[in-house]
Amino acid sequence: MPRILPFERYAAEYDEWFEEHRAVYESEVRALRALLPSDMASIVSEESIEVGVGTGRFASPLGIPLGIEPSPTMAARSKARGIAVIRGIAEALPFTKSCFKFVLMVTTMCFLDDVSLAFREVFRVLKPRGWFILAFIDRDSPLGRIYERKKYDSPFYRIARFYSTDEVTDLLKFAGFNEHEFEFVQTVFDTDLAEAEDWKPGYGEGAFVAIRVVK
Amino acid sequence: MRMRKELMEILACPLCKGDLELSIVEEDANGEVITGTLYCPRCDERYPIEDGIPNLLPPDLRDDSPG
Repeated sequence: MPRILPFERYAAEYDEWFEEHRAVYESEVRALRALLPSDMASIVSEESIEVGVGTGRFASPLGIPLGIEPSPTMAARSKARGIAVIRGIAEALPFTKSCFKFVLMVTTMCFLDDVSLAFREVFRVLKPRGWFILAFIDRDSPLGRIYERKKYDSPFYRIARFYSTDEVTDLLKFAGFNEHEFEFVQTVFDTDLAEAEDWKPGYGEGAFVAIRVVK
Repeated sequence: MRMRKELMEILACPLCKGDLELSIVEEDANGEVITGTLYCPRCDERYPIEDGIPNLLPPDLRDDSPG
């Protein structure tokens, strides 16, 4: 079963987190923008999707018009932000093959039942040379280790399974993505941010890692 | 992009990935489908569209599933 119960129960609290942690949220959006193509507007038009769109907190600022989300309460919030939403799961994407130029997935993989299957599904729905940008909490980063240790304090993270960047890259390679084209950025080096931080290339220091891979 | 008819070109059955047939019960002035169904003839499965949101969860994960 998809792990949606806490998201149903605490959708408002989930959405509120982004306001309370504005600097962290903005740092994350900045890091994702760094991986997007310069002619993003033309690509991120009709042919892009966020898988696990949640309440639309990333699709909305990045201009992604379409999302997949299992939780009805979260889906309704995304729709209110102007995103077309389809209820569905990453492991069984309801799309024909090779229909997207760009797929985004942000801090969703830690809630998936079958990450390997989900990545293979993303590979299937991408057009040849299409981009997949995946962002996640890096379990092996200094802050990631704290998240892992304290995860039972959060109604969301208590059901999460965090991954290291090495585990994630192995799963991406297994799904068919070419490791020679992986690009990494990282951010969120500290929890008590007063203002948004700049991202750095690579991984290992930041809790929030984003990888861009190409089909 | 709302749940308009053009989305039909890329939507597929989550199980067999086959084409779906759209039945519209209600649509708004902008051509957005508000209520209707998406039918997969191969799986003989009906996926509902409610409040403009198609529910393409695998049927065993739907809210109304007996399990």
